[in-house]
Formats: sequence, C-alpha cells, structure tokens
Amino acid sequence: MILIYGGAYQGKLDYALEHYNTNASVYQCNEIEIRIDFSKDIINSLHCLILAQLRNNMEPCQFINENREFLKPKIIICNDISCGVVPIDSEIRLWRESVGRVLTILARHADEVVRIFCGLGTRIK
Amino acid sequence: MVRVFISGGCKSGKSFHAQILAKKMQQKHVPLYYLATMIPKDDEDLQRIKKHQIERTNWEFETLEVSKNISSVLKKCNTNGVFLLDSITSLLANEMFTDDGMMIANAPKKLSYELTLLAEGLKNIVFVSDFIYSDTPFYDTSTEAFRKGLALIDRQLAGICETVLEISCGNVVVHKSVSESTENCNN
Repeated sequence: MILIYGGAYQGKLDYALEHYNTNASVYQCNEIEIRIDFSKDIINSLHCLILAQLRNNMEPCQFINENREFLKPKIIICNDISCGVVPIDSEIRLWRESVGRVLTILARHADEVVRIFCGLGTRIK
Repeated sequence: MVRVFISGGCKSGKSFHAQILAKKMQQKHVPLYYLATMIPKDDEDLQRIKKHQIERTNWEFETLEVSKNISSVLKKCNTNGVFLLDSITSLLANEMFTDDGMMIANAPKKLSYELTLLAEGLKNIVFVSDFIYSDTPFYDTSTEAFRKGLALIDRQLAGICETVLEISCGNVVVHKSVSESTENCNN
C-alpha cells in the first residue's frame, strides 16, 4: 500500500500518476457513496469517503481495518485537514479527527508514505 | 541563477527567511529589490506593513509597490538584481477580487502566467506564498476558488524554481534544492 497525503490542491493525484502508474485506474471518493470500488488501482480523496461514512453513522476506522487486505495493493490519496482551528460544527470536528485516525492506521500499514507539498513529494516512510 | 519558492503557515518566519536568502544572493553592485504587494485595507494591515518595514531597515532593499500587473517589474527594474516578492497570496487577492466584491475567475491563470514570465526573465528571485491548504472548514465558493487558484500558482512556481522551502515554526524544510545559498539558513 502506498499512502499519499497533503493539503488540498497540492497535486497529489498527478504525483501518483506520474511516479507510480500513468495508466492507473482511479476511484474518486465523494461525500455520498460509503463504499469503495476496489477494482480500481488508486483510491482518491479518501477524506470524502470518511465524511460520507460518518454521515451514515459508520465508523471509518473500523471500515479501514476490515478492508485492509483489499487496500494492500492500492495507492490511497487523502487530504490532510488537520492543521486548522478546531471546528465549531460537531460533524466537521468528528470528521477532522476521523481523518487523522484513519491516516495514522493507513500509514502504519503502508509500505510507503509520501507527503505532497506544492506538487513535490517527500517520502516520510 | 537562484530562484527560490518559500511557503508555510502564518507567522512561521517565511518573510524573515526570505529576506536572509535574498540578501545572501546579492552580489556586489547589484540592486536588491523588495516587491511589496499588499494594498492596506485597514489599521491592522497598516501595522503589519509597518512591522515588515521595520524588519527591513538596514537591509538595503529598494522597495517597489507592485500590487497588480507584476510582470511590469521586468521593464522597470535591473533584471540582474535580486528580487524578493512577498507575497503571492496578496498579489492574487488584489488580482482576483475587486473593491466591490466581484471575483475575477481567470485571475489565478493570468497571475500564474505573469509570475512564470517573471521567473524566466529574472536571474535571482525569492517568491513567498502562504500554505492555506490543511484545515477543515468548508469555505464559500470564492474562498475555495482562491485556495485552488493560489495552489495552482504555488505548484507552477515550485516546479520552475531550483529551490523550494517550507518554513515551519521558524525552521526550514528543504523540498527541493540545487543551490548552496539555501544551506545553513536555519543558522
């Protein structure tokens, strides 16, 4: 598993396609769908899936742990949303914490973790 | 040729490090330009500008107010000089939002093009931007467009510049470097 994370609009998907597999298929997560299409090579915008799951009373960490085998061969891309002020809205606050926990689980099991800054990748694991 | 792109969080020390680098890059008999970009909107902005001006005292910067049309610098200045542009963020705000609150949607692309011309036309320049991409809130459409637009410019300049630095709590994280001039800038 390769985990690529970083701030919004930093060029994470472009980096994945350029550095790992130009022809990779991409599953684009959104704020409605609560499942992943595991037939794709890249899971993009995982933070959106986490929000969708929370809105449907699912536990994202549990989902990730239960699907670790399916995630093993994937490139997973997620926004880092951890660096602002604690949000007033409880749903957004829970989302922020859940993304942090999921990223920590994924990073622990990933073969490689890359942080993207302005399009440039730093391998931190 | 040394072109440097610097970004980082608020009050992380970006401007200070940018000034040190620009000063280090200056060779004898070559002007050192400070491209001031902020249009003050209130007392807080005026105080911020004043603080930066005090910090620049004795650094021998020649300050140019360029709040819009940044590529005009290529005609106005000695292109062999060293330039410090602080910041891309306020330049984009100036170009993207009118006084009556209208948003100019293609401003990021226009500014990206102009800054590319600047990067290609100058030998020594330090760009300063702001890292505004790792927080949680959902913003309104124009704020989100601004974040996306600034990121577009950041990535373009980080691609062109030989050196890319992130300043974090006053420390320098080197993301890309081929120049000795950026070494030891934590000292």
